[in-house]
Amino acid sequence: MIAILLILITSLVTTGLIIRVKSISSGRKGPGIFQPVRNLTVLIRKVTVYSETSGIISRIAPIVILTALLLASLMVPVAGFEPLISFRGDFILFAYLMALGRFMMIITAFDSGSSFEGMGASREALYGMLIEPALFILIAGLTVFTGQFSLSSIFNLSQNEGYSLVFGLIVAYIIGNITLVENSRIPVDDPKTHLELTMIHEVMVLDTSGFNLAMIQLTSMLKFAIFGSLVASAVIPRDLPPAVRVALYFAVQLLFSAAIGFSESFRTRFKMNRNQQYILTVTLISVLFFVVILFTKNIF
Amino acid sequence: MGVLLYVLFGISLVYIAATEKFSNYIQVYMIQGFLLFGIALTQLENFTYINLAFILLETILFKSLVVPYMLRKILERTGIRNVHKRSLPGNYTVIIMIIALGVSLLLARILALPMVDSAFLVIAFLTLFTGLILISARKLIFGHLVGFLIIENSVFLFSIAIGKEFPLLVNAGILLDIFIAVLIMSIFLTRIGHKMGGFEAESLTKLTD
Repeated sequence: MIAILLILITSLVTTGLIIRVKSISSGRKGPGIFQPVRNLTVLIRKVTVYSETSGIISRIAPIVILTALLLASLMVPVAGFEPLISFRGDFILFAYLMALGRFMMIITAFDSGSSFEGMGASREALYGMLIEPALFILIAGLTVFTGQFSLSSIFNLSQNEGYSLVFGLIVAYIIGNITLVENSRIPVDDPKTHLELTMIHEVMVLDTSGFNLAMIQLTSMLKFAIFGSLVASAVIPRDLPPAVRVALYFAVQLLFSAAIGFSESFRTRFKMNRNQQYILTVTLISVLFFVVILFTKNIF
Repeated sequence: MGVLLYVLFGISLVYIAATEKFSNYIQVYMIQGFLLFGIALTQLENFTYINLAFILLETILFKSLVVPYMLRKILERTGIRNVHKRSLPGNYTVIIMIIALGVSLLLARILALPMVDSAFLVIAFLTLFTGLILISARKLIFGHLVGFLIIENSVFLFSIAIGKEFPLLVNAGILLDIFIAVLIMSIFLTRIGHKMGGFEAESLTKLTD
């Protein structure tokens, strides 16, 4: 129960923290940390306007996406606290729930009948397809390393022979890069861009408004918290007292958000045709990590 | 510590295969020099002062300081910055790197011997393939030069993988190779290149008496 509570709390502040870091590093006063939450409350009260061409998909998709992500978050271990759902092979369901969210997002974009949204959906599908192997190879590597088959046990890294903080940091680095792709952030996508032709995620929600848009934004916030929690689980040892783990968890989330905020402040978005190369590079690092685990465990 | 250096060296190879800026090539090559020094220190057992001095000379002084300085001078003189023309798109380069990693694993498996450290054999093969990929995927001769230097790093790693001692003869050979490669390429880039109207490797085919 503590795990999901921590994820929900984190999801409400992570996006705000990133925006705050970006505004500070660019010398602006910027909005407060809770501004995205305030925006959500405003959006929830607004009436949803649907495109004339849209059908049932646009009406049910935001709730399905949010439900899929909430279910996925129930399987995520948080700094040693057990998740509500945990069983052998749960990481496959976790990946499929994330994929279901993306699939619904893509067909919602098509359902709106806008050519811009179709373009964004096609990009989202491509990048989603390319980044999935990186996540699976990473989890496969951790499965070999720990000899366990559930997300909760897999991310109990510190209890295994051969673990060092450097090992956890490499896992965190790979998950961090996956987060940037999954959440359509710089360098893959720029959430603040004004030009539809260069958008990926933002262009897919151009015709989404009111309550539905609030659900989509909440999903994005939840995704950050899920990946941030995986990062925290990779680096925080489980044998520490619970209070220390909670404190470390928030510290890791703060660092994670600050790292994303700083990187977005000083980096530019890649040209669209270079994104595949970036994503494949993340996959290659993941494969390399897998090979290292094979040697560490004397399997090869 | 050995595993960390091993992973970092692997990541540096991934980065050099994916990047398009020549200045990044130099930075990564410089970092590889330091990493090789660390790898040599953690792996080799039987040190002599001459051996240590040679490794220090080759990795830190030569690979991390002298060669990057020379490469930077070449870039300043020629004014080239990016990989403008590539024989292969960047995506394919990374995909080929993934295949190369698989092939390296396979080769290390085939060549598995009690006295051979398989982990370093894999990274040595991957380094060799990265050098070959750089040479075949980049048209500008500067990319070829860096590819050649990366292959020299793979020779260094091979010698560490095979023995706990570092043979002086291999060391001297590598040093000579690097020196000659940088010398010849820099002559081409700074002296002949302008006359030939470009810095592409294909220009070399026009060379006549």
